[in-house]
Amino acid sequence: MDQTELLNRCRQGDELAWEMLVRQQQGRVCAMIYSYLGDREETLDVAQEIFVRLYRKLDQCADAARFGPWLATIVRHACLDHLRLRKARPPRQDIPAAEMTSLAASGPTPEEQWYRTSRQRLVHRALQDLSEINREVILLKDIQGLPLEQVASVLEVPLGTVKSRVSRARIELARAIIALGGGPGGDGEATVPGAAS
Amino acid sequence: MTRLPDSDDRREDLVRSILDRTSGPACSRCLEMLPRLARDDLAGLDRTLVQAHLEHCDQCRAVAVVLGWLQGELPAMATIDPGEEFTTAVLTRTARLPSRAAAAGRLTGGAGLMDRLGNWWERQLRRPLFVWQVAYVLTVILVMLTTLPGAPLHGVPEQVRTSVQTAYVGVPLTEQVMQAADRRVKNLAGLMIDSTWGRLHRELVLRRANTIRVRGGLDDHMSRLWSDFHQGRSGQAVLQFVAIGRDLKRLWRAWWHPDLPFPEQVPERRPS
Repeated sequence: MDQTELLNRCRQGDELAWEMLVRQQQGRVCAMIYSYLGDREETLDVAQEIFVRLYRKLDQCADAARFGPWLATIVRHACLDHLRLRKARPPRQDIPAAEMTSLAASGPTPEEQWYRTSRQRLVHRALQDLSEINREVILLKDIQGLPLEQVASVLEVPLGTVKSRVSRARIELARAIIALGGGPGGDGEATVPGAAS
Repeated sequence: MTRLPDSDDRREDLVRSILDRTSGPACSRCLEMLPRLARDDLAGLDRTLVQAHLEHCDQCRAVAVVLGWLQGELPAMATIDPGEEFTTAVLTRTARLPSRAAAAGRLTGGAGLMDRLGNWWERQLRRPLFVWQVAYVLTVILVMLTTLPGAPLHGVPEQVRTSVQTAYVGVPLTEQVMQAADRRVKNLAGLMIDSTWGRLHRELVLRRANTIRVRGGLDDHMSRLWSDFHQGRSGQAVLQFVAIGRDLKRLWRAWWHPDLPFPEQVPERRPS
């Protein structure tokens, strides 16, 4: 279905169109939020809030072609607000360090089950070690596949900054993965790209 | 027994020592080009040079390997499945919001206006500054009501200040309040004798009569509290304060449960 038509139907109050838009965008929205927050429950809560906000603000996005970056901007602001709130409030519960070891599960956590492969889980953990700007560049450019101009617009930084960051961010991510044991000797396969040609 | 380095190792050491003394290691230059190699966007001499460097540099080779598989993994992380429960929760929440229907013209007239007003109010409540702005506006209104000449409460702060600075004059406070309320209700009841106001007036008169003794005691204790407080008798003031609490309890009981025995009739427990 054409995105412009879908958005128009949503604006007119068509519940079926809205349901389709939610189903279409929920995976992307949750993936973005999870990259910022790293917590499953918080991700679902914030995602709900974002969809409620989206429902109210749909009229503000007149151009369907701009819908992706517009939604990414809403998600980013919501996540940054949430992180600010999280910093300001105390931890949800205090568990003595001795009890923490007994609580730890041996298998993948529910969060980790969101990612299908062990490599994706490794990438997610490595992303948390990156600087904020590099993580956002990777998230928007390489994961969400936004063009550089739209990445710059969402991050509210000059285009040149994004261009110079893209390669550096990837290298930083690769190094973080290697530091976590995901290099050629670990989880990754030892094939150099382009080696065959 | 130490193993002698083989010829490859020796050659590599030689290259490194030459690079260290001349241009420095080429890793940073290689890392600059690795993302392009991973995207298969590097050709010609650059590609040959980078691949030659990778053959001899374990660290750069590890980065190149990871960059290679990241090309496939990163786009696959663009979506995650939050589950059907999430979709249902979102649709349930947004179903309660009629703003889309109102905007589309489904809700018109009074319903649409109320809907828009409701949405506006909800938006205001969510704003962090809203509480401060309300406090500011209320302060301005209060100042205007009490300071502007001709304002309804003009001079009231001055009267309050004077009464606080001087002593408590012993005015039966509760009786004043009751009389003011009575006058208002009586006026309204005069307009609508048999209506709700009339019944309310009769009820008020009955309850006033029922609580007259308790209110007398309350006024007396408040007067004594004020006087003890001004004369610095803190111990006595505390006792009066406790007595006021007891009076308020009795007043509550006598006001809302007029059919129960009068509070004074209940024998008080005395310490043996």
